[in-house]
Amino acid sequence: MRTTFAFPVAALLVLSPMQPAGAQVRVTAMVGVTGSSSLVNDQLVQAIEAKPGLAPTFLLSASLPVGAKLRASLDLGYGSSTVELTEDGLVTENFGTLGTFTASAALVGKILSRLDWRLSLGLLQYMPSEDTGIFADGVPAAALFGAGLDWRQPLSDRWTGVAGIRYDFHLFTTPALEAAGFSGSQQVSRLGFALGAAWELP
Amino acid sequence: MRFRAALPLLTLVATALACSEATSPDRVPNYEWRLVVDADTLSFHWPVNDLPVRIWVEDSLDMPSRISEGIASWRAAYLYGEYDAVVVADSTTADMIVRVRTAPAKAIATVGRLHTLFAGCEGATDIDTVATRFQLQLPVRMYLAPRYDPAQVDLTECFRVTARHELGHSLGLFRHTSDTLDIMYGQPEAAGLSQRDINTAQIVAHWPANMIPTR
Repeated sequence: MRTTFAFPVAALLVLSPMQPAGAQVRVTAMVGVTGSSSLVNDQLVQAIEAKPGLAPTFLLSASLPVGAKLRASLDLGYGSSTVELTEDGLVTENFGTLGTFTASAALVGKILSRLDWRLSLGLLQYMPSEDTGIFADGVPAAALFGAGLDWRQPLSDRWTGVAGIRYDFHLFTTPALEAAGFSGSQQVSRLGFALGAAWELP
Repeated sequence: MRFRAALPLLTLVATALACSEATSPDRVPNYEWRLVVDADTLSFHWPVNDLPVRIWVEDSLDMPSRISEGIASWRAAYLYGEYDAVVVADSTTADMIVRVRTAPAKAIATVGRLHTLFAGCEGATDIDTVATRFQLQLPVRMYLAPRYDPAQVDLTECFRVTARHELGHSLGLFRHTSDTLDIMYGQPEAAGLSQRDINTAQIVAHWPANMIPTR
């Protein structure tokens, strides 16, 4: 289920008919922070929650016009944070750092002249620093559904300042959690804010 | 237009994702682990700040390897990094001392000895609760010894099982079970940890401890 729907929809987005030659490629780089809901909720004597801390995040995207008001974009993201274990509401320990890599295809359109919407589908891969506990047997890639808004402030002919918010959603489970008797997957929502700049290629 | 075409698929994805719901396991079956001394019921787990537990192991009969294997199997029983241990070279700062010899006669009244008899070897772990009953005197002392001449009989598996069992005591599993499939069975035969062992170890690690390690 995690990746079943991602590929056909991502392919649909990417394979949309391209604009003829002369279309401008726009490259955007952004830096920000991403917060996440919990990866694991457990009831082990008391309520236990494993949750990534705020993650510094780097975003890179390249987009092309695919219609009068639409652009298709390929997005990459990377963030890293600690994983906090909370027991009965108190943070008891941090167990390692968790890198998060995302790759997605997005459609971007206009709401206002300087405000863009975006919808994306892709994959998210967690990269824990230690292969122990819930990460003992690895972490499979998860399908990622995302949405966001970008405010674009022109700085020059080719440069634009960008401020964006991103929301995405995926399901989290690991072989270790499944072996421990967890059923289903945890619904994980992430919300991020980023600032950066976009450059229109000649 | 293209976006409109994709919208039903996007809705389908969002709906399918939203239908998933994680459910945590109930850690059943498990067994009683607490040490009863007089009227006190004692529970212990290593404080997170004390990890990794430092274990000094007498370098005899390849016992450091057996202990390392035991550490690895118990570490794998936990989901949230509740236990970790390392074999250290300095016995003076160790939290546990593992000797390759038969346990000496108990010299202190506050020591509870958990003794294990295997076919070819034996083990014992001393739990010294100190006079207050609510402390665990460090280092915890563990004894592993052959019952036959190790030059004549291969005791590798025997020591592997016994080391794993005795390490279980050091994690707070202070009782022997009545199920032969458990590593904490009094005369353990199981090659690995049972689901009952794993469930109980996880519960112990989060149960409020009323014993504090002390030196």
